[in-house]
Amino acid sequence: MLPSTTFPWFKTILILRSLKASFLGDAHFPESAEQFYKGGRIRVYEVLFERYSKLVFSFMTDRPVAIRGLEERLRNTFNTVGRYGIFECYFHRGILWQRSGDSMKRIKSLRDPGVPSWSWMGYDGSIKYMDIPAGQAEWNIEVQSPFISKQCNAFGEWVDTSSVSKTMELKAVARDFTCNKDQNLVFDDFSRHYNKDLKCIVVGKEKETSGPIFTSQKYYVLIIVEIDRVVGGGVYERVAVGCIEGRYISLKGPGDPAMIR
Amino acid sequence: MWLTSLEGYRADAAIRLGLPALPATGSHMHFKLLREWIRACDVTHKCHTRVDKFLPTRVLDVGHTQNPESIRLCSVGQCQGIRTLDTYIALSHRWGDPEQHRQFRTTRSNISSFQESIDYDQLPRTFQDAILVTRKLGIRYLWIDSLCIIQDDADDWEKESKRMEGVFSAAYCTIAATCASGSADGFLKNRPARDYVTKRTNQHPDIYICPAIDNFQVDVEDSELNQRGWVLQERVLSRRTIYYTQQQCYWECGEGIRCETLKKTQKSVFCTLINVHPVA
Repeated sequence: MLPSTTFPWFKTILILRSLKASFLGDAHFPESAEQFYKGGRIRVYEVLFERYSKLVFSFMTDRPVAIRGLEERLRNTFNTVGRYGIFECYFHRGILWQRSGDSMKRIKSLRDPGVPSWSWMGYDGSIKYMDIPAGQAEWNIEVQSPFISKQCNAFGEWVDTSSVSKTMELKAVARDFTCNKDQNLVFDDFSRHYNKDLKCIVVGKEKETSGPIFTSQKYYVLIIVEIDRVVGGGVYERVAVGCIEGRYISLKGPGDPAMIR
Repeated sequence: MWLTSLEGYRADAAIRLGLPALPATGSHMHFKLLREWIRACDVTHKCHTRVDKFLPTRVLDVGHTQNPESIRLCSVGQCQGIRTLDTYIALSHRWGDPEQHRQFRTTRSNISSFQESIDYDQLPRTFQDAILVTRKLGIRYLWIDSLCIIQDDADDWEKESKRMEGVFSAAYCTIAATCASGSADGFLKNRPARDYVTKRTNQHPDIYICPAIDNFQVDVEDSELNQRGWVLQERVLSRRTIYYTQQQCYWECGEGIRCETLKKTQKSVFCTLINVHPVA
């Protein structure tokens, strides 16, 4: 009789073995992973981080640290930069993680003040990635990754000396949206209350299919709340992730330049 | 799973080679098998190759059989006459509940003393077992996080945490103390006795019928050690790992998994990793 936990682990063992194969110079990686797992490379790190987010620590403050070796290996394998569980080459997907279990709590007293609210490493709790099939999304260029900006060094470390922020920031455009009970929003910490209106940033959208106008096109968003206002725009934090129809978002107009910490 | 009858048995049926009763951990036979796993991998696989020669900042010199008491902490720049520092074993383990497992670690105040020598009898059981296995595998150096990183030095801790990719992927082999609940527990333990029935005939060699115990999923994947956050990267980055579980040892490398019962998984057949039973 197969244990009930067997099937997800089949994939994990396969992924682990495929990762090992890649380091041995397997000429067929990542094709060998993709053969079994569509979008192999993406799923490789998603499976690993989803697993990692469920593991236990004596000190929760170790969570951003205890995977740095694996992150480095993945950066080398993908030939990319990145930090805090997010890779530049998969930046938009990487920030579309969501709570998969109980309410997530921000970890206090992290050693590294750079860990932003848009990284799951700053929270205690398990995550999963939004299920967006490979090639089925268009990503929004308004969302600017910090990893390739001057504010990061070659190791993806935040060294921005021009701003007071020690926390890594991504830049985007904050937009109003209307709440609808049918919307698929997943709040990271559902015990939190907000005394400011929530806004969203558009990370990407479903690829438009040809044919009749697609009025209910889905948009992949982060929900944010303002924590400060500076000369350049608003400073925000992430509070939720979701998939909502475009008609509920104020897509027209310039929106509010946003720095999300 | 027990075979209750051998009716219909044919002399050429696939009865696999295996060990019904496992040798005791720490025994000569036990280490012979581990050495054979390593040898087969060294010779027939390409698992242990790394282009750049990574060296950990510090390693434990486990001494040698002529002078088994000469254990000490070595820093790369300070050790003299090290010819094969690039060959070291890494230990993956749980520290355990501090109330039950005395924390034996390197600190700023004791590092000088550890660089002179470390008293074997002072070491917790898990570290003693790791040293024994390292010596039996013919390796001189061992990396243990609590000893090779200065635990009360934030800078050293930060610097070393960035080097983990190298530490585990350049290790000659990783030992996973899967069945140790903490540093005081050790992992060279007695395994549950395995019942078996011997069938003798004149036409072929003895056959043993025994319960199926190969279960990598339960013994390794579901173990307490594998639920720890630090251990994920230790497992993924290691090129070859020997897991010491309650039931038996497992070997894992890029080419597959081997069980101490001598079951071997095929490279392409991953379903067998989930329910690894001997073919009856």
